[in-house]
Amino acid sequence: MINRLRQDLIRSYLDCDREGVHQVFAQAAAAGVGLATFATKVIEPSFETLGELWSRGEVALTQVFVAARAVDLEVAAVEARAAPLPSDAPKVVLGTLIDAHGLGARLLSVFLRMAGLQAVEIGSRLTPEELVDRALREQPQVVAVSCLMLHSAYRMREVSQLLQERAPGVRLVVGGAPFRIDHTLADRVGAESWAPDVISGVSVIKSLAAPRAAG
Amino acid sequence: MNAYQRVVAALTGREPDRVPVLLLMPTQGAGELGLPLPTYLGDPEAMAEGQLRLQARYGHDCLYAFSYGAAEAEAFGASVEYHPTGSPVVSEPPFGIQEVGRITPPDPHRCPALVRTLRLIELLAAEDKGRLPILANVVAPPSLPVMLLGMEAWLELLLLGDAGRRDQVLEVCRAFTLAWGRAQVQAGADALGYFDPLASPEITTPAQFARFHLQTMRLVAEQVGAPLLLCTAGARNLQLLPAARETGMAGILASAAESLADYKQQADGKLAVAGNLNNIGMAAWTPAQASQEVRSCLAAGAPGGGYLLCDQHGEIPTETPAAVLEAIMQTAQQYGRYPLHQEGR
Repeated sequence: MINRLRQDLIRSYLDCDREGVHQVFAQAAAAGVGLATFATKVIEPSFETLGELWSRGEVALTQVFVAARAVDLEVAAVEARAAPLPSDAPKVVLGTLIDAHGLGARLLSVFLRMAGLQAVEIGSRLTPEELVDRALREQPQVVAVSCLMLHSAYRMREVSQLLQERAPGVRLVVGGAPFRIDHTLADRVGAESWAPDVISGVSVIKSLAAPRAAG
Repeated sequence: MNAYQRVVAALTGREPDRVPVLLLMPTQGAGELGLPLPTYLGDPEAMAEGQLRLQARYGHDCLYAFSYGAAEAEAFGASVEYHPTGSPVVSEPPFGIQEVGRITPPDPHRCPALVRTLRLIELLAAEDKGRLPILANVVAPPSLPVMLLGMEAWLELLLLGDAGRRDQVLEVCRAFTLAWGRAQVQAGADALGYFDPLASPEITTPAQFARFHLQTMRLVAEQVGAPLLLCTAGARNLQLLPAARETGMAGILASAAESLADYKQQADGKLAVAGNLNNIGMAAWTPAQASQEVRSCLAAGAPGGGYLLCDQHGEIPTETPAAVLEAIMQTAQQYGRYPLHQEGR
Protein backbone atom coordinates (compact mmCIF):
# COMPACT_ATOMS: atom_id res chain seq x y z
CA MET A 1 0.00 0.00 0.00
CA ILE A 2 2.67 2.51 1.11
CA ASN A 3 4.90 1.62 -1.85
CA ARG A 4 2.06 2.04 -4.30
CA LEU A 5 1.07 5.39 -2.83
CA ARG A 6 4.66 6.56 -3.10
CA GLN A 7 4.94 5.45 -6.71
CA ASP A 8 1.63 7.06 -7.62
CA LEU A 9 2.73 10.27 -5.96
CA ILE A 10 6.00 10.35 -7.91
CA ARG A 11 4.16 9.65 -11.15
CA SER A 12 1.79 12.55 -10.40
CA TYR A 13 4.76 14.87 -9.80
CA LEU A 14 6.34 13.92 -13.12
CA ASP A 15 3.05 14.42 -14.95
CA CYS A 16 2.49 17.79 -13.20
CA ASP A 17 -0.81 16.22 -12.16
CA ARG A 18 -2.33 18.19 -9.28
CA GLU A 19 -5.43 15.98 -9.23
CA GLY A 20 -3.26 12.86 -9.11
CA VAL A 21 -1.57 14.15 -5.93
CA HIS A 22 -4.99 14.79 -4.43
CA GLN A 23 -6.07 11.25 -5.25
CA VAL A 24 -3.05 9.76 -3.48
CA PHE A 25 -3.84 11.76 -0.34
CA ALA A 26 -7.49 10.67 -0.56
CA GLN A 27 -6.49 7.02 -0.89
CA ALA A 28 -4.18 7.30 2.13
CA ALA A 29 -6.96 8.89 4.20
CA ALA A 30 -9.44 6.21 3.13
CA ALA A 31 -6.94 3.53 4.17
CA GLY A 32 -6.49 5.16 7.58
CA VAL A 33 -2.83 6.20 7.06
CA GLY A 34 -2.10 9.07 9.49
CA LEU A 35 -0.38 12.26 8.33
CA ALA A 36 2.83 11.63 10.31
CA THR A 37 3.22 8.16 8.78
CA PHE A 38 2.26 9.44 5.37
CA ALA A 39 4.81 12.28 5.62
CA THR A 40 7.72 10.03 6.64
CA LYS A 41 6.90 6.93 4.58
CA VAL A 42 5.44 8.45 1.43
CA ILE A 43 6.02 12.19 1.00
CA GLU A 44 9.60 12.48 2.20
CA PRO A 45 10.84 9.47 0.18
CA SER A 46 8.93 10.75 -2.85
CA PHE A 47 10.72 14.08 -2.57
CA GLU A 48 14.04 12.24 -2.20
CA THR A 49 13.32 10.43 -5.46
CA LEU A 50 12.44 13.74 -7.08
CA GLY A 51 15.75 15.09 -5.80
CA GLU A 52 17.68 12.18 -7.30
CA LEU A 53 15.98 12.75 -10.64
CA TRP A 54 16.72 16.47 -10.39
CA SER A 55 20.40 15.85 -9.68
CA ARG A 56 20.55 13.81 -12.89
CA GLY A 57 18.83 16.62 -14.83
CA GLU A 58 15.77 14.45 -15.41
CA VAL A 59 13.11 16.72 -13.93
CA ALA A 60 12.26 20.34 -14.56
CA LEU A 61 11.41 23.13 -12.14
CA THR A 62 7.76 22.97 -13.22
CA GLN A 63 7.54 19.37 -11.96
CA VAL A 64 9.15 20.35 -8.66
CA PHE A 65 6.79 23.33 -8.44
CA VAL A 66 3.65 21.29 -8.96
CA ALA A 67 4.88 18.64 -6.51
CA ALA A 68 5.54 21.18 -3.76
CA ARG A 69 2.41 23.20 -4.44
CA ALA A 70 0.08 20.22 -4.55
CA VAL A 71 1.57 18.53 -1.49
CA ASP A 72 1.53 21.82 0.43
CA LEU A 73 -2.17 22.31 -0.30
CA GLU A 74 -3.02 18.73 0.62
CA VAL A 75 -1.05 18.79 3.87
CA ALA A 76 -2.67 22.11 4.82
CA ALA A 77 -6.09 20.59 4.19
CA VAL A 78 -5.29 17.55 6.35
CA GLU A 79 -3.81 19.71 9.11
CA ALA A 80 -6.97 21.83 9.12
CA ARG A 81 -8.89 18.69 10.07
CA ALA A 82 -6.36 17.04 12.39
CA ALA A 83 -3.27 17.72 14.50
CA PRO A 84 -0.36 19.48 12.72
CA LEU A 85 3.01 17.86 12.26
CA PRO A 86 5.28 17.83 15.37
CA SER A 87 6.98 21.18 15.96
CA ASP A 88 9.94 20.43 18.27
CA ALA A 89 12.20 19.84 15.29
CA PRO A 90 15.11 22.12 14.29
CA LYS A 91 13.93 25.48 13.01
CA VAL A 92 14.92 26.98 9.67
CA VAL A 93 14.12 30.52 8.60
CA LEU A 94 13.81 31.20 4.87
CA GLY A 95 13.94 34.56 3.13
CA THR A 96 14.73 36.14 -0.23
CA LEU A 97 17.33 38.88 -0.31
CA ILE A 98 16.44 42.04 -2.27
CA ASP A 99 14.63 40.23 -5.10
CA ALA A 100 10.87 39.78 -5.46
CA HIS A 101 11.18 36.21 -6.76
CA GLY A 102 10.62 34.17 -3.60
CA LEU A 103 9.75 30.92 -5.32
CA GLY A 104 12.92 29.10 -4.25
CA ALA A 105 12.36 29.86 -0.57
CA ARG A 106 8.69 28.96 -0.92
CA LEU A 107 9.41 25.53 -2.42
CA LEU A 108 12.23 24.81 -0.01
CA SER A 109 9.99 25.50 2.98
CA VAL A 110 7.55 22.84 1.77
CA PHE A 111 10.32 20.26 1.31
CA LEU A 112 11.79 21.08 4.74
CA ARG A 113 8.44 20.67 6.46
CA MET A 114 7.89 17.34 4.78
CA ALA A 115 11.38 16.32 5.96
CA GLY A 116 10.29 17.02 9.53
CA LEU A 117 11.88 20.43 10.12
CA GLN A 118 10.17 23.63 11.18
CA ALA A 119 10.29 26.09 8.28
CA VAL A 120 9.41 29.75 8.79
CA GLU A 121 9.17 32.03 5.74
CA ILE A 122 10.04 35.65 6.45
CA GLY A 123 9.36 37.13 3.01
CA SER A 124 11.09 38.50 -0.06
CA ARG A 125 12.57 41.85 -1.10
CA LEU A 126 14.41 42.03 2.22
CA THR A 127 17.51 44.11 2.85
CA PRO A 128 20.31 42.33 4.72
CA GLU A 129 19.34 44.17 7.93
CA GLU A 130 15.63 43.36 7.60
CA LEU A 131 16.40 39.77 6.79
CA VAL A 132 18.66 39.24 9.80
CA ASP A 133 16.28 41.12 12.13
CA ARG A 134 13.32 39.00 11.11
CA ALA A 135 15.33 35.79 11.07
CA LEU A 136 16.74 36.15 14.57
CA ARG A 137 13.31 36.88 16.05
CA GLU A 138 12.50 33.26 15.21
CA GLN A 139 15.58 31.91 17.05
CA PRO A 140 16.44 29.47 14.27
CA GLN A 141 19.29 26.98 13.97
CA VAL A 142 19.66 27.74 10.25
CA VAL A 143 18.97 30.78 8.08
CA ALA A 144 18.42 29.94 4.41
CA VAL A 145 18.61 32.88 2.01
CA SER A 146 17.95 32.84 -1.71
CA CYS A 147 18.27 35.42 -4.44
CA LEU A 148 17.90 35.65 -8.20
CA MET A 149 20.03 38.56 -9.33
CA LEU A 150 23.82 38.85 -9.17
CA HIS A 151 23.75 42.21 -7.40
CA SER A 152 21.62 40.60 -4.67
CA ALA A 153 24.06 37.71 -4.37
CA TYR A 154 26.88 40.16 -3.68
CA ARG A 155 24.89 41.55 -0.73
CA MET A 156 24.83 38.10 0.84
CA ARG A 157 28.17 39.10 2.36
CA GLU A 158 26.33 41.63 4.54
CA VAL A 159 23.93 38.93 5.74
CA SER A 160 26.86 36.72 6.61
CA GLN A 161 28.62 39.50 8.52
CA LEU A 162 25.49 40.53 10.44
CA LEU A 163 24.80 36.95 11.47
CA GLN A 164 28.37 36.47 12.62
CA GLU A 165 28.15 39.60 14.73
CA ARG A 166 24.73 39.02 16.23
CA ALA A 167 24.24 35.25 16.33
CA PRO A 168 27.49 33.41 15.58
CA GLY A 169 25.94 30.01 16.27
CA VAL A 170 23.32 30.37 13.59
CA ARG A 171 24.24 28.68 10.34
CA LEU A 172 23.79 30.41 6.95
CA VAL A 173 23.01 28.55 3.75
CA VAL A 174 22.51 30.38 0.44
CA GLY A 175 21.00 29.47 -2.89
CA GLY A 176 19.73 30.87 -6.16
CA ALA A 177 20.71 31.16 -9.80
CA PRO A 178 23.99 33.11 -9.41
CA PHE A 179 25.41 30.46 -7.07
CA ARG A 180 24.47 27.69 -9.46
CA ILE A 181 26.24 29.38 -12.37
CA ASP A 182 29.41 30.19 -10.44
CA HIS A 183 30.26 27.66 -7.75
CA THR A 184 32.92 29.91 -6.25
CA LEU A 185 30.46 32.70 -5.56
CA ALA A 186 29.12 31.40 -2.24
CA ASP A 187 32.62 31.36 -0.85
CA ARG A 188 33.35 34.81 -2.28
CA VAL A 189 30.38 36.32 -0.46
CA GLY A 190 31.25 34.64 2.82
CA ALA A 191 28.50 32.01 2.99
CA GLU A 192 29.46 28.82 4.77
CA SER A 193 27.16 26.56 2.73
CA TRP A 194 25.14 26.68 -0.44
CA ALA A 195 22.75 24.42 -2.25
CA PRO A 196 22.27 24.22 -6.01
CA ASP A 197 18.52 23.57 -5.78
CA VAL A 198 15.67 23.33 -3.32
CA ILE A 199 15.73 19.56 -2.99
CA SER A 200 19.42 19.20 -2.24
CA GLY A 201 18.89 22.21 0.03
CA VAL A 202 17.02 19.91 2.38
CA SER A 203 20.01 17.62 2.96
CA VAL A 204 22.40 20.59 3.25
CA ILE A 205 20.16 22.20 5.87
CA LYS A 206 19.55 18.96 7.74
CA SER A 207 23.30 18.44 8.07
CA LEU A 208 23.72 22.00 9.38
CA ALA A 209 20.83 21.70 11.81
CA ALA A 210 21.72 18.24 13.09
CA PRO A 211 24.45 19.06 15.67
CA ARG A 212 22.23 21.68 17.32
CA ALA A 213 19.26 19.34 17.28
CA ALA A 214 21.37 16.73 19.04
CA GLY A 215 22.74 19.22 21.54
CA MET B 1 35.75 42.64 -43.69
CA ASN B 2 34.07 44.94 -41.19
CA ALA B 3 32.35 43.91 -37.96
CA TYR B 4 28.90 43.87 -39.55
CA GLN B 5 30.07 41.56 -42.34
CA ARG B 6 31.94 39.42 -39.79
CA VAL B 7 28.83 38.90 -37.67
CA VAL B 8 26.59 38.26 -40.68
CA ALA B 9 29.05 35.65 -41.95
CA ALA B 10 29.07 33.86 -38.59
CA LEU B 11 25.28 34.08 -38.20
CA THR B 12 24.86 32.47 -41.60
CA GLY B 13 27.18 29.59 -40.73
CA ARG B 14 30.27 30.76 -42.59
CA GLU B 15 33.86 31.49 -41.61
CA PRO B 16 34.56 35.25 -41.41
CA ASP B 17 38.09 36.64 -41.29
CA ARG B 18 38.05 35.92 -37.55
CA VAL B 19 35.59 34.85 -34.88
CA PRO B 20 33.34 37.83 -34.07
CA VAL B 21 33.37 38.97 -30.45
CA LEU B 22 30.22 40.33 -28.86
CA LEU B 23 30.99 42.11 -25.59
CA LEU B 24 27.43 42.70 -24.38
CA MET B 25 27.71 45.53 -21.89
CA PRO B 26 24.47 47.35 -21.10
CA THR B 27 25.74 49.19 -18.02
CA GLN B 28 29.47 49.77 -18.49
CA GLY B 29 28.93 52.88 -20.61
CA ALA B 30 27.86 54.73 -17.46
CA GLY B 31 31.36 54.26 -16.08
CA GLU B 32 32.91 55.37 -19.37
CA LEU B 33 30.94 58.62 -19.18
CA GLY B 34 31.23 59.07 -15.41
CA LEU B 35 27.45 59.02 -15.00
CA PRO B 36 25.31 57.38 -12.32
CA LEU B 37 23.58 54.34 -13.80
CA PRO B 38 20.02 55.73 -13.52
CA THR B 39 21.10 58.89 -15.36
CA TYR B 40 22.82 56.86 -18.05
CA LEU B 41 19.95 54.43 -18.63
CA GLY B 42 17.52 57.35 -18.69
CA ASP B 43 19.32 59.12 -21.53
CA PRO B 44 19.49 57.53 -25.01
CA GLU B 45 22.15 59.99 -26.16
CA ALA B 46 24.35 58.95 -23.23
CA MET B 47 23.73 55.25 -23.88
CA ALA B 48 24.64 55.68 -27.55
CA GLU B 49 27.81 57.55 -26.62
CA GLY B 50 28.58 54.86 -24.05
CA GLN B 51 28.24 52.06 -26.59
CA LEU B 52 30.43 53.89 -29.10
CA ARG B 53 33.12 54.55 -26.50
CA LEU B 54 33.07 50.95 -25.30
CA GLN B 55 33.40 49.72 -28.86
CA ALA B 56 36.26 52.12 -29.53
CA ARG B 57 37.98 51.02 -26.32
CA TYR B 58 37.72 47.25 -26.74
CA GLY B 59 37.30 46.87 -30.50
CA HIS B 60 34.56 44.25 -30.29
CA ASP B 61 32.15 43.53 -33.10
CA CYS B 62 28.78 45.00 -32.11
CA LEU B 63 26.84 47.82 -30.55
CA TYR B 64 24.45 46.65 -27.86
CA ALA B 65 21.17 48.57 -27.99
CA PHE B 66 19.83 47.11 -24.77
CA SER B 67 19.16 49.08 -21.62
CA TYR B 68 17.59 46.60 -19.17
CA GLY B 69 15.06 43.78 -19.35
CA ALA B 70 12.63 45.25 -16.85
CA ALA B 71 11.89 48.06 -19.34
CA GLU B 72 9.41 45.70 -21.01
CA ALA B 73 7.55 45.34 -17.72
CA GLU B 74 7.52 49.12 -17.38
CA ALA B 75 5.52 49.21 -20.62
CA PHE B 76 2.85 47.25 -18.75
CA GLY B 77 2.89 49.65 -15.80
CA ALA B 78 5.56 48.13 -13.56
CA SER B 79 7.96 50.34 -11.65
CA VAL B 80 11.63 49.50 -11.42
CA GLU B 81 14.23 50.02 -8.74
CA TYR B 82 17.98 50.44 -8.85
CA HIS B 83 20.58 48.74 -6.70
CA PRO B 84 24.18 49.73 -6.10
CA THR B 85 25.40 47.45 -8.90
CA GLY B 86 23.74 46.00 -11.96
CA SER B 87 20.66 46.73 -14.00
CA PRO B 88 17.37 47.89 -12.48
CA VAL B 89 14.75 45.26 -11.69
CA VAL B 90 10.96 45.22 -11.36
CA SER B 91 10.01 46.47 -7.89
CA GLU B 92 6.77 44.51 -7.63
CA PRO B 93 4.95 42.57 -10.35
CA PRO B 94 2.28 45.00 -11.62
CA PHE B 95 -0.53 42.45 -11.76
CA GLY B 96 -2.03 39.96 -9.35
CA ILE B 97 -3.36 36.69 -10.67
CA GLN B 98 -6.94 37.99 -10.35
CA GLU B 99 -6.10 40.98 -12.55
CA VAL B 100 -4.88 39.18 -15.66
CA GLY B 101 -8.17 39.94 -17.43
CA ARG B 102 -7.24 43.60 -17.66
CA ILE B 103 -3.75 43.11 -19.13
CA THR B 104 -3.59 44.50 -22.65
CA PRO B 105 -0.60 44.77 -24.98
CA PRO B 106 0.95 48.23 -24.57
CA ASP B 107 2.17 50.29 -27.52
CA PRO B 108 5.99 50.31 -27.36
CA HIS B 109 6.00 53.84 -28.79
CA ARG B 110 4.08 55.12 -25.76
CA CYS B 111 6.34 53.72 -23.04
CA PRO B 112 9.18 56.11 -22.12
CA ALA B 113 11.62 53.30 -21.26
CA LEU B 114 11.07 51.59 -24.61
CA VAL B 115 11.10 54.88 -26.52
CA ARG B 116 14.54 55.50 -25.03
CA THR B 117 15.74 52.17 -26.40
CA LEU B 118 14.27 52.93 -29.82
CA ARG B 119 16.03 56.29 -29.80
CA LEU B 120 19.27 54.54 -28.77
CA ILE B 121 18.93 52.21 -31.76
CA GLU B 122 18.27 55.14 -34.11
CA LEU B 123 21.32 57.01 -32.83
CA LEU B 124 23.56 53.97 -33.23
CA ALA B 125 22.14 53.25 -36.68
CA ALA B 126 22.77 56.84 -37.76
CA GLU B 127 26.35 56.51 -36.63
CA ASP B 128 27.36 53.02 -37.69
CA LYS B 129 24.65 51.17 -39.64
CA GLY B 130 26.31 48.60 -41.86
CA ARG B 131 29.69 48.94 -40.17
CA LEU B 132 28.85 47.61 -36.72
CA PRO B 133 25.84 45.35 -36.17
CA ILE B 134 23.25 46.72 -33.76
CA LEU B 135 21.98 44.04 -31.39
CA ALA B 136 18.81 44.39 -29.32
CA ASN B 137 16.54 42.06 -27.35
CA VAL B 138 12.98 40.93 -26.76
CA VAL B 139 11.67 38.83 -23.89
CA ALA B 140 9.78 35.79 -25.19
CA PRO B 141 6.01 35.78 -24.61
CA PRO B 142 5.98 32.71 -22.32
CA SER B 143 8.73 34.22 -20.13
CA LEU B 144 7.49 37.82 -20.04
CA PRO B 145 4.69 37.11 -17.50
CA VAL B 146 7.36 36.28 -14.91
CA MET B 147 7.97 40.04 -14.70
CA LEU B 148 4.28 40.91 -14.94
CA LEU B 149 2.89 38.47 -12.36
CA GLY B 150 5.92 37.09 -10.53
CA MET B 151 7.40 33.64 -11.06
CA GLU B 152 5.22 31.82 -8.57
CA ALA B 153 1.93 33.33 -9.76
CA TRP B 154 2.81 32.75 -13.41
CA LEU B 155 3.72 29.10 -12.85
CA GLU B 156 0.52 28.70 -10.84
CA LEU B 157 -1.57 30.08 -13.71
CA LEU B 158 0.42 28.35 -16.45
CA LEU B 159 0.40 24.88 -14.87
CA LEU B 160 -2.55 24.77 -12.50
CA GLY B 161 -4.79 27.72 -13.32
CA ASP B 162 -7.62 28.60 -15.64
CA ALA B 163 -6.66 27.78 -19.25
CA GLY B 164 -8.64 30.70 -20.67
CA ARG B 165 -6.87 33.25 -18.50
CA ARG B 166 -3.50 31.61 -19.19
CA ASP B 167 -4.06 31.74 -22.96
CA GLN B 168 -5.18 35.34 -22.70
CA VAL B 169 -1.92 36.31 -20.99
CA LEU B 170 0.11 34.44 -23.58
CA GLU B 171 -1.79 36.11 -26.42
CA VAL B 172 -1.26 39.59 -24.97
CA CYS B 173 2.45 38.88 -24.56
CA ARG B 174 2.73 37.50 -28.11
CA ALA B 175 1.16 40.68 -29.51
CA PHE B 176 3.46 42.86 -27.43
CA THR B 177 6.66 40.93 -28.20
CA LEU B 178 5.99 41.09 -31.93
CA ALA B 179 5.21 44.82 -31.80
CA TRP B 180 8.26 45.54 -29.66
CA GLY B 181 10.57 43.43 -31.78
CA ARG B 182 9.33 45.00 -35.01
CA ALA B 183 9.68 48.50 -33.59
CA GLN B 184 13.31 47.82 -32.75
CA VAL B 185 13.98 46.37 -36.19
CA GLN B 186 12.29 49.37 -37.80
CA ALA B 187 14.48 51.68 -35.70
CA GLY B 188 17.59 49.95 -37.06
CA ALA B 189 18.33 46.82 -35.00
CA ASP B 190 20.09 44.17 -37.09
CA ALA B 191 19.43 41.13 -34.88
CA LEU B 192 17.52 40.39 -31.71
CA GLY B 193 18.20 38.19 -28.73
CA TYR B 194 15.04 36.19 -28.01
CA PHE B 195 15.13 35.76 -24.23
CA ASP B 196 13.13 32.73 -23.17
CA PRO B 197 14.64 31.51 -19.89
CA LEU B 198 11.49 29.57 -19.01
CA ALA B 199 12.05 27.42 -22.10
CA SER B 200 15.18 25.87 -20.57
CA PRO B 201 14.80 22.17 -19.79
CA GLU B 202 15.93 23.10 -16.28
CA ILE B 203 12.55 24.81 -15.91
CA THR B 204 10.15 23.35 -18.46
CA THR B 205 9.44 19.76 -19.53
CA PRO B 206 9.64 18.86 -23.23
CA ALA B 207 5.84 18.52 -23.34
CA GLN B 208 5.36 21.96 -21.78
CA PHE B 209 7.94 23.42 -24.17
CA ALA B 210 6.05 22.00 -27.13
CA ARG B 211 2.77 23.28 -25.74
CA PHE B 212 3.68 26.80 -24.61
CA HIS B 213 6.91 27.85 -26.34
CA LEU B 214 7.46 26.21 -29.71
CA GLN B 215 4.76 27.79 -31.87
CA THR B 216 5.36 31.21 -30.35
CA MET B 217 9.05 30.91 -31.12
CA ARG B 218 8.23 30.08 -34.73
CA LEU B 219 5.73 32.95 -34.99
CA VAL B 220 8.18 35.56 -33.72
CA ALA B 221 11.04 34.17 -35.85
CA GLU B 222 8.86 34.34 -38.95
CA GLN B 223 7.30 37.73 -38.37
CA VAL B 224 9.68 39.97 -36.44
CA GLY B 225 11.79 40.89 -39.46
CA ALA B 226 15.32 40.23 -38.16
CA PRO B 227 17.47 37.23 -37.23
CA LEU B 228 16.82 35.91 -33.72
CA LEU B 229 19.28 34.39 -31.28
CA LEU B 230 17.69 32.09 -28.70
CA CYS B 231 18.88 32.95 -25.17
CA THR B 232 17.91 31.32 -21.87
CA ALA B 233 19.86 33.69 -19.63
CA GLY B 234 22.53 31.16 -18.71
CA ALA B 235 20.23 28.18 -18.16
CA ARG B 236 20.92 24.96 -20.06
CA ASN B 237 19.47 24.93 -23.54
CA LEU B 238 21.36 22.42 -25.69
CA GLN B 239 18.17 20.34 -25.75
CA LEU B 240 16.38 23.28 -27.43
CA LEU B 241 18.80 23.44 -30.35
CA PRO B 242 16.70 21.30 -32.72
CA ALA B 243 13.66 23.47 -31.97
CA ALA B 244 15.70 26.62 -32.56
CA ARG B 245 16.73 25.25 -35.96
CA GLU B 246 13.25 24.11 -36.84
CA THR B 247 11.56 27.39 -35.92
CA GLY B 248 13.90 29.52 -37.97
CA MET B 249 16.14 31.00 -35.29
CA ALA B 250 19.45 32.26 -36.66
CA GLY B 251 21.41 31.09 -33.64
CA ILE B 252 21.51 29.93 -30.06
CA LEU B 253 23.39 31.33 -27.07
CA ALA B 254 25.04 28.33 -25.41
CA SER B 255 25.05 27.95 -21.63
CA ALA B 256 28.40 27.70 -19.84
CA ALA B 257 27.22 24.51 -18.14
CA GLU B 258 27.16 22.64 -21.44
CA SER B 259 29.77 21.78 -24.03
CA LEU B 260 30.22 24.23 -26.87
CA ALA B 261 31.47 21.34 -28.99
CA ASP B 262 28.13 19.58 -28.47
CA TYR B 263 26.27 22.69 -29.64
CA LYS B 264 28.45 22.92 -32.73
CA GLN B 265 27.99 19.26 -33.53
CA GLN B 266 24.22 19.43 -33.22
CA ALA B 267 23.98 22.72 -35.08
CA ASP B 268 25.77 21.05 -37.99
CA GLY B 269 26.36 24.36 -39.72
CA LYS B 270 22.66 25.09 -40.00
CA LEU B 271 22.40 27.30 -36.91
CA ALA B 272 24.93 29.76 -35.51
CA VAL B 273 26.25 29.10 -32.03
CA ALA B 274 27.27 31.87 -29.63
CA GLY B 275 28.75 31.75 -26.15
CA ASN B 276 29.63 30.47 -23.71
CA LEU B 277 31.88 32.49 -21.38
CA ASN B 278 30.63 32.36 -17.79
CA ASN B 279 29.31 35.88 -17.18
CA ILE B 280 29.02 35.42 -13.43
CA GLY B 281 32.46 33.91 -13.06
CA MET B 282 34.29 36.45 -15.22
CA ALA B 283 34.07 39.18 -12.57
CA ALA B 284 36.61 37.16 -10.55
CA TRP B 285 38.83 36.07 -13.44
CA THR B 286 42.39 37.23 -13.94
CA PRO B 287 43.33 38.28 -17.48
CA ALA B 288 45.25 35.00 -17.83
CA GLN B 289 42.14 33.01 -16.86
CA ALA B 290 40.04 35.03 -19.27
CA SER B 291 42.51 34.26 -22.03
CA GLN B 292 42.39 30.55 -21.21
CA GLU B 293 38.59 30.55 -21.19
CA VAL B 294 38.52 32.25 -24.58
CA ARG B 295 40.97 29.73 -26.02
CA SER B 296 38.78 26.89 -24.78
CA CYS B 297 35.73 28.46 -26.42
CA LEU B 298 37.60 29.03 -29.66
CA ALA B 299 38.90 25.48 -29.72
CA ALA B 300 35.39 24.08 -29.37
CA GLY B 301 33.37 26.71 -31.24
CA ALA B 302 35.46 28.27 -33.97
CA PRO B 303 36.25 25.35 -36.33
CA GLY B 304 34.06 25.46 -39.40
CA GLY B 305 32.68 28.95 -38.72
CA GLY B 306 29.14 29.74 -37.60
CA TYR B 307 30.43 30.78 -34.19
CA LEU B 308 30.34 34.05 -32.22
CA LEU B 309 32.28 34.51 -28.98
CA CYS B 310 30.29 36.10 -26.16
CA ASP B 311 29.08 35.47 -22.63
CA GLN B 312 26.44 32.85 -21.94
CA HIS B 313 23.79 35.28 -20.70
CA GLY B 314 23.76 38.33 -22.93
CA GLU B 315 24.96 40.65 -20.17
CA ILE B 316 28.47 41.13 -18.85
CA PRO B 317 28.25 42.22 -15.19
CA THR B 318 29.20 45.80 -14.39
CA GLU B 319 32.00 44.80 -12.07
CA THR B 320 33.91 42.72 -14.64
CA PRO B 321 37.42 44.22 -14.75
CA ALA B 322 38.43 46.05 -17.91
CA ALA B 323 41.62 43.98 -18.01
CA VAL B 324 39.50 40.83 -18.34
CA LEU B 325 37.53 42.31 -21.24
CA GLU B 326 40.76 43.40 -22.91
CA ALA B 327 42.17 39.90 -22.47
CA ILE B 328 39.05 38.38 -24.03
CA MET B 329 39.35 40.63 -27.04
CA GLN B 330 43.11 40.24 -27.47
CA THR B 331 42.94 36.47 -27.22
CA ALA B 332 40.13 36.30 -29.76
CA GLN B 333 42.10 38.49 -32.15
CA GLN B 334 45.20 36.36 -31.70
CA TYR B 335 43.69 32.88 -31.84
CA GLY B 336 40.35 33.39 -33.56
CA ARG B 337 41.57 34.23 -37.06
CA TYR B 338 40.58 32.04 -39.97
CA PRO B 339 42.11 29.84 -41.15
CA LEU B 340 42.62 28.76 -37.57
CA HIS B 341 46.16 28.10 -36.36
CA GLN B 342 46.95 24.91 -34.50
CA GLU B 343 46.89 26.83 -31.17
CA GLY B 344 43.29 27.79 -31.76
CA ARG B 345 42.14 24.25 -32.35
